[in-house]
Order: sequence, then C-alpha cells, then structure tokens
Amino acid sequence: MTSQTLRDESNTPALADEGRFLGANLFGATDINAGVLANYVNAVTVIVLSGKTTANSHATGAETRGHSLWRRVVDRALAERLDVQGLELVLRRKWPQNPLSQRAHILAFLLETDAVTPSYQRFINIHRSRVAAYLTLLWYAASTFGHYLRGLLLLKRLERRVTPHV
Amino acid sequence: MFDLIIVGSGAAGTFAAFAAARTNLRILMLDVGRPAPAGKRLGPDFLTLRQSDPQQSSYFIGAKFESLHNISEAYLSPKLKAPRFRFVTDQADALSPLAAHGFSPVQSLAYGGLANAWGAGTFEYTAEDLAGFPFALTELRAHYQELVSEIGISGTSDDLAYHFGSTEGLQPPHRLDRLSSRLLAGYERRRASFQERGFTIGRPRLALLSQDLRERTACNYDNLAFWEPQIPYLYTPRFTLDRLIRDGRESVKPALMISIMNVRSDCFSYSRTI
Repeated sequence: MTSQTLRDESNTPALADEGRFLGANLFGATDINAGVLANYVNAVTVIVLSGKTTANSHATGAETRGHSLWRRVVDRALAERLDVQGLELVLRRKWPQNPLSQRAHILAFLLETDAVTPSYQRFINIHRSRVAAYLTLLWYAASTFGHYLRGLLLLKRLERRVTPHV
Repeated sequence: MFDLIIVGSGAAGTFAAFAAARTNLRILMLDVGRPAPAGKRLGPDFLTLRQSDPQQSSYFIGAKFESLHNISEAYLSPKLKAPRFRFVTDQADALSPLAAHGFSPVQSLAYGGLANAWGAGTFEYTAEDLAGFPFALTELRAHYQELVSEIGISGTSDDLAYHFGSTEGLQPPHRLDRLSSRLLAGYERRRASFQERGFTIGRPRLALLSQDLRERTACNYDNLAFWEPQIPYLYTPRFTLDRLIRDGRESVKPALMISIMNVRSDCFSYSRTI
C-alpha cells in the first residue's frame, strides 16, 4: 500500500482501516466513530496524499533522498500494521512533516473535536488531584521514552528492508 | 467627485477615513470588502462547546480541514486558519500574488483588513522609538488619546506601563484566571528579586473591552475570540467604518462612501456602494 495507490477512491476502506489502526495504536482509541473515520479518509486524501504535501524547495539532495526513504518506511510500517508509536516519535525529530506525523496530527485533531465519544476524554486533563496529574505525566514521560527506543530499532530494521539492494 | 480616495479598509485606511471624516472632504474608500461569514454566532462559551457540541469539528477544524492546513502547507497564524476567520485571507494570494523569499507575506481583501484577526495588543511608541523621527512623542499624545476612546483599551499602570505608554482613558484591566493571578501575586511578593534578574511581569494593554463602549458590549469571558470573528468586545476597524457610514447617512453630506468591488484575477469592477 503506497501513497500512490491510496489516491484511488477505491482505497477508502483501506484508509478507514488505517485510521482505526492508528487510533488504537497511537491514542488507545478503539471506539472511533464512522464520522471521524470518514473525516480521516477525506483529510488524509486532501492533505497528505494530494501531491502538494511537504514540498520543501530548500531541501538538500541528501534530505530529499532521506525523505524518499522514510516515505517508503512509513508505507511499509502502515501496510504491515507495525507498532508505529515509537516510529512516529523518531521520524518527527528527523523530518517534522513526515507522512506518519501528518496522519497522527490529523487523527489527533479529529478525535479531540469528537466531544461526544469517550475519545475526547483522553485528550483532556480531567484530574482534579495534583498528585494524580503529576503521576500521569511521569508515566507518559517514561512510556514515551520506551516507545522512542523501540522506534529507533524499528526504523533501523525498516530502513534496511526498504533500501534497494545494489 | 471625491476629494480623497482611500484604497483598502484595513487599520491604516480606516483611520485615514476617521481623521478625514471630520473635514469637509468627500471621501471614497475602495475595497474588495470580503465579509465575515454570516449565520449564528458560536456560543455560549468555548468550554461548553468543547465538551458537548457534536458539531464542533466544523468550526474548530472546518469542512475543508482549514485548521489542519499547516500540517502540509505554508505557515499561517492559528487565528487566520480558524475556519470562521478564513474570509480574512480568502483569495488574497490568488488575486494579488506576491513572491517572497525568507518570509511569508499575509494579505487580506476582507472588510476591515487583516485587523479582523489581530491579537488586540496595543503599544504606544516611546521617545526612544521615535528618536530620529521628524516629530516628537508629545505631538502624538492627543492622537493616542483619540484612539483610546475610539477603540476602547483596557489595562493598568504597573511595571509594564513603560512599554505600553500612557494610562489615560484606559478601561479597567480584565480579571485574571487563577494561574495568572498566582503568577502575578508571586511576582509582586518578590518584585525586587525578579527585577534584579531582568524579569518584569505585568498586565497586557489590550483592545478588549472591560466596559461597554457605545454599541459594543464588554468582554463576557466566553473565550471565543480565536474562533468567532467580529466579536463585539474585541476591536476591529469594521466597528469604526460601520459607525462612519452610519453617521454619514444621518448627516446632510455622507462622510464616507465605501465601494465594494467584484474582483476576479483579471479585472476589478464596481459592484455596490455601502
């Protein structure tokens, strides 16, 4: 499943399925409703797959080659439904507008404005207790670091797999 | 026949008209005048909307995902990409293309100009700023006072007053939320220590009403100014323009006529006069 093939409207179910996967993997949201999924499909099509994304006239040749490699990495990770949470963290530091971070941003905003489902509560700090709020923060900091290390390993593995053999 | 033609209804054009309206000059303002979206205003307040409105995606993200465009496109300030503020920059780049290197110019064809989406921060020039200018700060004082009473500015005299200018004619400052109150109280307890380290904290000087001013109502703390254009408590030039037009209609000689033009990429044509 590459970015090129996803532009076809017949891939809408595949994009919706991708939205469900990313929702569960990145945000623990297993209850994404049909409206949010439809918006995800449209937004990814308009923003990520439209062909006008992430064009950077200042990118050097090496950066452009890196972006091409990471695009293939993202395609592969999504196609194989790998654990993309750590991969997204690592890629975000290397290339902030990579296609995986764009998808994550889109889905985060769509879930956050879906106030009528439990997804909304995951994005709002409702702790009234300061201790609980700090413990949650600590847990997420440690968990994020763990994901980051796993993402580094995953990226190295995927880079080897998607690099054409000479 | 007109004595004065002003092109554009932004802040500069509006206050040129404001000053000229007191003369006997006949003034024509030419403007594309894209209007703010019509329809029901958002409400009652930001938090209620966020917690309960199932339609909120349409005004926080937009039917065309306007608020998400920074994910893939050039930088636009958060307020300008909010769905209900898109009229401010709508079609400006297509109709008036600009080439720029190293910065992103933003232009507006809206009625009231880019100031429809300004942050409402107000500063007077200081004597230091004006060093080398052919006029002194004292000559500007009366004009600043006129602006304060036209716009409605809230603030107070505190440690930041030097940066903002005179406190004459200001409306009272807005109430602070709990976190800001605690920060300010902490600063005031250890002011000398903060200032030794080069920190100064104070309240902002904002074109945000804390009391009613003419037909405009005071801020109700609904926190919607980032999402709803032309909210009464936050000043935009539209308020001044509307008043100049209204006052003109009631007088023998219209003080200001505004011609709204139909604009396509290849021609401008006269459409209507307000």
